[in-house]
Amino acid sequence: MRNILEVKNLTVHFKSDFGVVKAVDNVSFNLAEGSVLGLVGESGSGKSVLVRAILGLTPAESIAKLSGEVIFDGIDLLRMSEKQLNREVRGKRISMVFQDPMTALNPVMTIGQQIADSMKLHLNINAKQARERALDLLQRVGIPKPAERLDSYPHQLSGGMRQRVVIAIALSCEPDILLADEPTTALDVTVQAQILDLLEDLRAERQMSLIMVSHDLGLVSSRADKVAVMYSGGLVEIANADTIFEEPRMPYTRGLLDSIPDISMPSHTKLKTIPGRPPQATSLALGCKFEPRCTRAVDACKVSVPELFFDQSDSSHAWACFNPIAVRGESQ
Amino acid sequence: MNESVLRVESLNVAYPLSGKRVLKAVQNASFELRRGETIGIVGESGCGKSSLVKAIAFLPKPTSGQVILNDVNLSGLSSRKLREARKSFPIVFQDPISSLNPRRTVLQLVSQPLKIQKIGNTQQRLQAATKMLEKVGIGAELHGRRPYELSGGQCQRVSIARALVTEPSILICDEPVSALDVSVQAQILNLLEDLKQEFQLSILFVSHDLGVVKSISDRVMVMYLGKVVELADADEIYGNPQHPYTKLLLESIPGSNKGRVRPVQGVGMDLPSPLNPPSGCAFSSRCAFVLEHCRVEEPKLQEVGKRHQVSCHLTAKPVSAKA
Repeated sequence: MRNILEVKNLTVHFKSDFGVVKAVDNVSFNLAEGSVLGLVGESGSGKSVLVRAILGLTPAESIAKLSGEVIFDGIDLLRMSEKQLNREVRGKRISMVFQDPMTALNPVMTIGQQIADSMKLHLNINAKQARERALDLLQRVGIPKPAERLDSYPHQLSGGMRQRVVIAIALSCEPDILLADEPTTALDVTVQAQILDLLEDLRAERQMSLIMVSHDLGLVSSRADKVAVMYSGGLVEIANADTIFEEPRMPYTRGLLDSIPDISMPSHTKLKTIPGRPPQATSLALGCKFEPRCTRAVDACKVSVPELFFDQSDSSHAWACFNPIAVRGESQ
Repeated sequence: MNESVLRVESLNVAYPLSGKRVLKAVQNASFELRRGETIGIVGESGCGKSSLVKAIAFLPKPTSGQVILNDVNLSGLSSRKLREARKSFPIVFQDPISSLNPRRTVLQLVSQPLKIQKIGNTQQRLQAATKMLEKVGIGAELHGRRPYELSGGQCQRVSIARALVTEPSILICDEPVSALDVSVQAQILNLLEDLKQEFQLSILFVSHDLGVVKSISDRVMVMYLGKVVELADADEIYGNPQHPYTKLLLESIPGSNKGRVRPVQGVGMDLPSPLNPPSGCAFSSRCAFVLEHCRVEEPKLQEVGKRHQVSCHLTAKPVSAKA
């Protein structure tokens, strides 16, 4: 399968009063056309900054360093001008669904106007055609009585309905890639299931590629083809969803999986925990960022940052660790 | 474990709105909490789970119904007596940082409840606070810090120490781990389990996360639109759910640690407005198994098995897993 997006050595550092914040540090990965990549990590791990950087949505005035490449359709998005990005990429070929459906919509515009807006900009159609397409989109994302809803304001809709509207806007120009930043975190579990089903159906129908950011490893692994795990600005493991679940190599991934309460275990089962907490983003530590919390740390971990090692038998699996967890059939 | 610590009888919470409208946040909730028991309360946002536990703590006082804590009926107490009684039922809130006074140090925050309750002298209070902080894993080096200098997990530990310093008989936790990352969440859940053992605590634990609730609870209560729809032992309710709403919730969990369940396709729409609930059974508008009868008559909470209560017309007949 062809890669629709290639992120190479992407680095985003911010200025702050406490020093440079290495929000994203030397991250590389590929997104295969038509696939779903799940991006997981705890708060502050840099996952949201990473997807924003893909669309050039990081605030320019606070950037200390922005380097690397984001190759989309042969073009490096990081080298594109703001004007070019707006005209050719954002909302048209790559669009984004944000976490909070309450604030992502303009409170003083009707739903219909908001959906029509980007279509009028990108698709060169008139207001009447845009309204017809908006109606069609609302129907497609499962909003009851769509014709009435076109003239509703965001506050008249529930959270789940608003997130559907946000998705309708993101899909309005039939993008190649949808970036979904915690699309269901603000929603109840039953609504979450509906929204995820909807994204899945639309993706399959339109051969769209999807990057889904979430702090919920369970959610991501049940919905993604491939999963990338981030820790403190770095990509620490990437593999097919099943592999991440069954044979993680990076101790942090294992720890993260173990700390999720397992619904199939009897109640009061003692949870395994990762001691300590994620480092400050301004940390100047030389070695692996996870080293202070890691039970498998060796001397090398303190002095240098491990690069991604690729599994020799499965090139889709890579981990950044000097002392990875052994898998079956491998001697240590 | 059979001794009852807290008894809630026909508790109602109603919030008056403009134009004589009333929002019935909790309707007719009755249950018992035993010594050393944890009851987990789950449901979607707006189901009344927070309103229920806040009403139990008289924040504010329930519209009607009885809350009986250690054989004392809280409804009959004067406000002075109520304040004294408060030491027995502290709350740990969701947002660990904003629920602590930003101008107080950790040690002040934890000794303050003792001061308000006029327990011991200054020296004794500081000693008790230090001891409790040690139990929750906050060392002396953090005693002088203020909440904004701590992480979310540390703040939640301070909140727990502050709640337990008056040696309460029950602890009310309103989404105590929702704002925390999973690795920190596991630490706090383990801490609560340890403290529960040590102090023979009874806990009311509100959460929207079904995995967390399963892990920490002895019994689980499921609420829907202000009503208790199912109440049973944790392993029973997860292994043998009876109410269609409980089933819907469990099926909606995205891939649990090992199970990797795929949610059912095309389940019902959003939660109806609590201002205008469906007639009959409140869940009838979303239920896949709905009968004509459900839209007319409201089901009552009934015993269907050992310590297993359900309010559903269908539980008279066995409900199949798929319609």
